[in-house]
Formats: sequence, structure tokens, C-alpha cells
Amino acid sequence: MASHPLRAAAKIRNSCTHTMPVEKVRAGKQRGLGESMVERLPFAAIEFAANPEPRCPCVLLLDTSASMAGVRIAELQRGLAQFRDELQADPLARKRVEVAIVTFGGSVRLASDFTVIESFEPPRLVADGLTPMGAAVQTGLELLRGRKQIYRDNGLAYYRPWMFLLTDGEPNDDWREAATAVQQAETGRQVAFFAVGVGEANMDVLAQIATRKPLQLRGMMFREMFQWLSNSLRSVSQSGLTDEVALANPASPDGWAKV
Amino acid sequence: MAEKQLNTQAWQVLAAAVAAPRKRPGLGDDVVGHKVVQTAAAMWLIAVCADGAGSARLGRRGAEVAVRQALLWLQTKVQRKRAGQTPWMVSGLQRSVDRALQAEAQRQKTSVRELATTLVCAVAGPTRTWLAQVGDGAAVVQMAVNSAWLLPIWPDRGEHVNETLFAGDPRSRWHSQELPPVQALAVLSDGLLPVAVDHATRQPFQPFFSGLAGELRRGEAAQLHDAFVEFLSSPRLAERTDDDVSLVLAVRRAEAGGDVPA
Repeated sequence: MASHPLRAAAKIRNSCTHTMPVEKVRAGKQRGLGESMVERLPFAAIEFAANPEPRCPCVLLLDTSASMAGVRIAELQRGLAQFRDELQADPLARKRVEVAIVTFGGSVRLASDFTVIESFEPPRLVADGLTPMGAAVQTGLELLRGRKQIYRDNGLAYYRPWMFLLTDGEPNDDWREAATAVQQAETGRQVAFFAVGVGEANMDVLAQIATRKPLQLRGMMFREMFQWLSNSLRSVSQSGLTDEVALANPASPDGWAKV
Repeated sequence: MAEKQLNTQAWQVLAAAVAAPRKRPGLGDDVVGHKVVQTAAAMWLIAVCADGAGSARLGRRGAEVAVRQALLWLQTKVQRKRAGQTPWMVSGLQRSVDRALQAEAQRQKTSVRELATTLVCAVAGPTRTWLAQVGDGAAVVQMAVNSAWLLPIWPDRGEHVNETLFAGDPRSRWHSQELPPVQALAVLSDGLLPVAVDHATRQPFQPFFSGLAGELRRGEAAQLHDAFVEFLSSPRLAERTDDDVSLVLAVRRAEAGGDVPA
């Protein structure tokens, strides 16, 4: 399912190491009455470590069960493309935000393994089958654990990961273990977990999985939701090491969600 | 390097804190300080750097208080008899800084949390070097014995990038380390870590520090100060970090004909 960890590690290294050009002198600085000279700048030759950017990982858990067929899956697909475009337009976020997509429709599938936004292409989503949500959540948490290990092995710093669950139904598998795992991960500040219900989604179940209050999507506002997600990830990925990031309220009167 | 020689060598120091150009205008949240203390027995160098939390309303004020208090505590410590022999406890420094932050919080009618700051301190004398810190700053030293640059205490930022530990927070861990004499040292805020430390090897980036220290050994601190600030404000550095940057760099100047390390 997931790509080999060593291959992923090599990809991380290749994507981010580069060396700075070293300028030795700044020429032609004017001094006095027309007197020009080449002046040696004391600290111009200092080299910098070729450090990779810190990573901001995000797992999208997307319901692709049969009930998502039609306009919902089409809007979701458009929302994903917009999400990619907005984050790719940001010079820091495109190097820092990493996205993985797990779909659950009939079976749980790693539709897109972790990749930095600058090389992310949304997978084509097909709606089919039932809603194994519990297994999808467990897969997402497992995926994050593996990714963090790769970051640590490669000396990469990372932000607190995000996990974003989107569904229009209710789980048809045992989700209680998954709910416990999410709550433990939230308590240990291992992940920030968000759940969004579409249409007739079972909000009671979502409230038992997520520690944050789940949000109900207004109508088909998938694109507004992804715009909020890309804005939020952009803010987080550019926050200083000690900054608390204030997120826009998605449930404001003109927001994409209702509580 | 003999102890007698280390006793008489003068310290050359450059210190500056520069606000990140991409952040809000103003002074930034980093504060640096240093002191050269001449006692009857020896010459000591104290270097301190603090980074006020961006999430705290008075983070910069907290950094100023922490730097001032740490300089006071450390100066008192080195002026004591037998300062070079008795062990120093980081808990003493922690208590002193925490109390100063609590007093400031009372004056400002706010909580210590609003003054949250990291702090990193380095003290170098003829027989010992002492490092102490809370949070994700760094103290880097060049050993007198073999000229290697070392980062003895890894910056403590908890697991995730945007979480860290602060002075004044009872959950925070303070770290300290005793080392043999050094010929140069630097204390820096986390904003410089992306360019000054190789995260893969968890070591200081040698060309960065040997380059800076080499310039300082060859020149005069007063004349180099503007170029030093220009370097810390330069676009090529700003491309690699999005945070305030601060650095105190100190080298022992070898006397004429003495040993000048690379």
C-alpha cells in the first residue's frame, strides 16, 4: 500500500537539498569624490547549511462510497484541484505542506501517498461501495506514524499533523476502536483531527470520533471548504516555531459549515 | 591552550537581533545581551539570547526581562571566589529568571504566560564553560583543545515545530552542561537554526561558524558591527528563514604570535 520508506526518504532528500551560491565580493562601491574601489564584504562568504524545510503533513480521509456518486464526488474532485492550486501558489507552503489521501468506498485505499504540494496531483475519485470509515481512520493514523518516523530518520522538523475526515454517511465497520485511537492521538497532541459531514452524514458518530465538534457542510460548498483548508494549512506552515495560529471560523454566517 | 594564556586573552564580541522582514514591523521578539567580566583571577565572557513567544502578548518584554536577569545572575556567579571550581546548578538560574518574570507579570497585571520566552546562556572562563537553556535556542562552542565546533545541547522544541517550551512555564525543562574551556562561542535564536545547524547530523554547520569567527578574529568588533547586522538582515539569509534572527558571537583573540585557530 504505502511506498517503501527508504524510497520515500530518498524522495524527501532529493526534493529539498540545494546549496547557496557564495558571493565573495561586492564590487564597485563608490567612495569619496568619484573614487571607486572593490571592497571586501566581511560576512559575504559565509555558507549556510543545506537544510530541508520543516514539513506540515495533512491526511485527507475522503468518503467515496456509492452515496457520494454524482454531483458530490464531482464537487469534491473540483475542490481538491483548487486546494492544490492555492497551496502551489504559495512559495513556502508548496515546499512544506505534504498531503496524503485515503479513500473509503467499498474498501480503504491509499489513493495518494504523502507528497509535498509542489508535486501533488489529486487522484481521480470514483464513488462505489459501502463506508468502512473506522478502518480508514486507523489507516490514516498508521500512515502518519510512518511519515513522522521518516521525518525523524531524515532530521526533518515537522508541524503537528492534520487529519481531515469527510463523509456523507455513517461507518459500516467497527469505528469505536478508531474513535479511541483518535482521542488518544488528540490528547497526546499527535494530531489535529477535523470531521466534516455532508448531506445526511451521521453527525452523532462523527462527534464520537472527533474531539473537536464536527462541522456540517453547507450545501455543496466543497470548494469553500478546501479554500479554508488551504488557507489554514498555509498559515500553519508559515507560523514561527512558537506561534499559535488563529484559524478562520468556518461556521461563521458566510462560512462553508454549520455546527 | 594553557590556562594562563586563556586568562589574559581579550574577548571580541559581536551581538545583534534582527526582526524577520516578513513579520509585522517592529523590533521583533529576540533580545541579546553579553558582558565581559574581569575578576581578580580571570576574564569571563557571558552571552545570552532570548526569543519571546510569538503567541504571548508581551513576549518581547519577557525576553528583555529574562536576558537582564540571566546576565545579573551569571555575573554575580562569576564574581564569587572559587567561581571556577564550584559546581553551578541550573535550578538557581531557573528560579532567578522565573521570579523576575513573575514580578514583571505582577507589575503588568498579567500572567507569566504572556511573558513566555526561550533563553539560552553561555559563560566562558579560563577553566570552564557553562551552558544553560530552556526552549529552542542554541549555544555553539569551539573547543580550545581541538577547534571543533559543537552543539552540546540540542534545541528543545518538543515534538512538533510550532510548539516549544518557555521560561516561566513549570512544565518546561531547563538544560545545562559543563564543558572544558572554549576559544569561541555563539548563542543564537531558533530563527538561525535552519542555516547554522545541520539537522541531519545534529551538529553546527562548521563553515558557518568558522567563517564568522574567522572574520571576527581578523578584524575589530566595533568596525565589523554594521556588516554583521547587514549579514543578519541580508535577503539571502531571509530566504532561508522566516523568523527573527539573533546571534551573539564571541572569540578569544590570540596575542601577537599566538595560536590563531581556523
